[in-house]
Amino acid sequence: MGCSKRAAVAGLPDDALVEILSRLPAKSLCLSKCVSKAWCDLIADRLRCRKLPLTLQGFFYGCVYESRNEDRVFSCSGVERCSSEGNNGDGSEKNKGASEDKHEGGQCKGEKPSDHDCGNFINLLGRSVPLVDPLFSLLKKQPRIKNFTLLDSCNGLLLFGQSRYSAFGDTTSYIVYNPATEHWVTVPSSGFSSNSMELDDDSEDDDDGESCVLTYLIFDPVISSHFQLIEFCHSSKVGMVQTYSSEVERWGDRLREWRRWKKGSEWDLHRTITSMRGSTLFNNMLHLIINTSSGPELIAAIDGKGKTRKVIRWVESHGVPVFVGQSKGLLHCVSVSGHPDGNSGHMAELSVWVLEDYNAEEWKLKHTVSFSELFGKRSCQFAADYNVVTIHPDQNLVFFIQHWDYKLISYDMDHKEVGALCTVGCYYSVISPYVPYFSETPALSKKEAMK
Amino acid sequence: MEVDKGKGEAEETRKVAEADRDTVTLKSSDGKLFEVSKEAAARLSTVLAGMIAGGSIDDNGTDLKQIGSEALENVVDYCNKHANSIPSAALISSSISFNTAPFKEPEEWERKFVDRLSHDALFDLVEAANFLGMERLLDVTCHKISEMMKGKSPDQIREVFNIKNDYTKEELEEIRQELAWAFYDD
Repeated sequence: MGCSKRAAVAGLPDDALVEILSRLPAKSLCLSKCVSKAWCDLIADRLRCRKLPLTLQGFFYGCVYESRNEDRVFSCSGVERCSSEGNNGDGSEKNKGASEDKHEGGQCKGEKPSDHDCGNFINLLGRSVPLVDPLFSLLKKQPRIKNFTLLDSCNGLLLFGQSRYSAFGDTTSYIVYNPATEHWVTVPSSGFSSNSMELDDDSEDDDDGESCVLTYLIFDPVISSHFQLIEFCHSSKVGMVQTYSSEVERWGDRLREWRRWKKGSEWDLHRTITSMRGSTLFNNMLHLIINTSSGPELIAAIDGKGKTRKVIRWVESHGVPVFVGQSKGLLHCVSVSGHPDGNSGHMAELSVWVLEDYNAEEWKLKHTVSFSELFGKRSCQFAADYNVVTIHPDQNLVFFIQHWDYKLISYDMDHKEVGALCTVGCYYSVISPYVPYFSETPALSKKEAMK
Repeated sequence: MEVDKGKGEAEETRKVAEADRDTVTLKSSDGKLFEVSKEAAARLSTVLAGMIAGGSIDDNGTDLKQIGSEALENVVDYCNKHANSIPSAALISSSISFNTAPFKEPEEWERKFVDRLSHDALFDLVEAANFLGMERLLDVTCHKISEMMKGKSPDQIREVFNIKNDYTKEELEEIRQELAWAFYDD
């Protein structure tokens, strides 16, 4: 009996084996492909296609990597990120004081990331461990890749920025990566340099003087197997938008249309890209909350070529919009309102609005919750106290990060329930929702696109 | 208020009538009989719950032809232990908190329960739990096996699962190259 029983073990039903395999961390799972051909097939096909739902699987965060032989710490290439001054990962970093902790968006607690601890994944599906390698070991092993920082994600692809430093200014090139298939491609820099060294020369207005770049990834496999990047650039001298298409593999011309972004014109580029309010790809257009020079915010729909296709008005009486996203196929906007203590930045409640008819531009109130219920505080300030991480694509859930205790929480609009998911460590300036995409994309290859 | 009273009485009589049948009898593939609490069986196994609700429970022993006596004994043992050690409220709250609730680590007693099992018994129990739709038991057993697999080389995994390596040297080398990062020790 013992002998035949042994055989039964190997012949464990696929269902049960999938249950076991789906609990393995990515690394063990990949090693398991070498066990036998049957296992390899099971892992490649069955696990990926059947077992894992194509919904929000979790969040990547803290994905900042710096190769050890690089002597400068990655300075941000987008909105303000935590920067620890030129330390070499030798443990000499001093404990930053409370002032650092208040840094908008990018808290830095503890040590700077090293080769080993870059990248974290928060798994929402609970039982199954992600089939992705959150440490991005594959990328780190590429000799040409010296550093990378997670900037954005879109329908299963991740966008990383790679900084190159020079006396003439820092430039950012990109890596587009599919963690599920481990295919990736590099995108050269657009040429924009954030000239941090000469910043002091002409900075009359401090707020407006710093250079920054914010880059979005656009990828919708239903519409095209190619991706686009939209880069919003701001410096003391210029404000512009540039786009890259993986189809033609180059950056397009600087758009004339973007004169409305120029200094002193209609739309306030600097405030728009430093406000950390999220964005969403909806109807294959990037939807962003835009700050205008005068008047209320509005939501712009921008296509992959950088053209503004639609401007959706926001009604001031609905509060201040802090997040735009989508759920159940509808555009959603999260706003805050009420001034409990007379301070304009401190709000008392949060509302979720939905655009049921995209063309009618009528925002309908879906839910309102007070900050006391949500965060246990009577008044909260967006960006300083919390950020909206995302809206669940098919459930009535909103995810928030609380900056005072680094907790990622979820709010269930149906049951009015707050759930604490986890405490994130350091370097969470970007917490990117991840919905896996398992097919191969011709736009990504394992090799670098450029020489 | 009189209505309420009447209701209460009906409840009482129903309870008495069911008192003699608060267990179900299960029959293994090799004909052994096991008794298990009806409440626990219905709560822990979707398949048994369906059978109980659908009245397809046989008082003389419901046939479970796919499950051997050793595995069934463990299933029953698990159900009885579960009924005694976990307040059902805890289970309910974990199941409704949308499916984003992380997998709840095995409780101390569950850990002990699977730790004492041999490899064979553990694999058989996975199969039985899968067949009976016992989500929690499947979680606990699969968790244990995946713990056993973590950090093991493909050779060692083959040994645990008693699997023959059907790759040629060349094929294996190809896969190793593709998955180089996974072989990379950190």
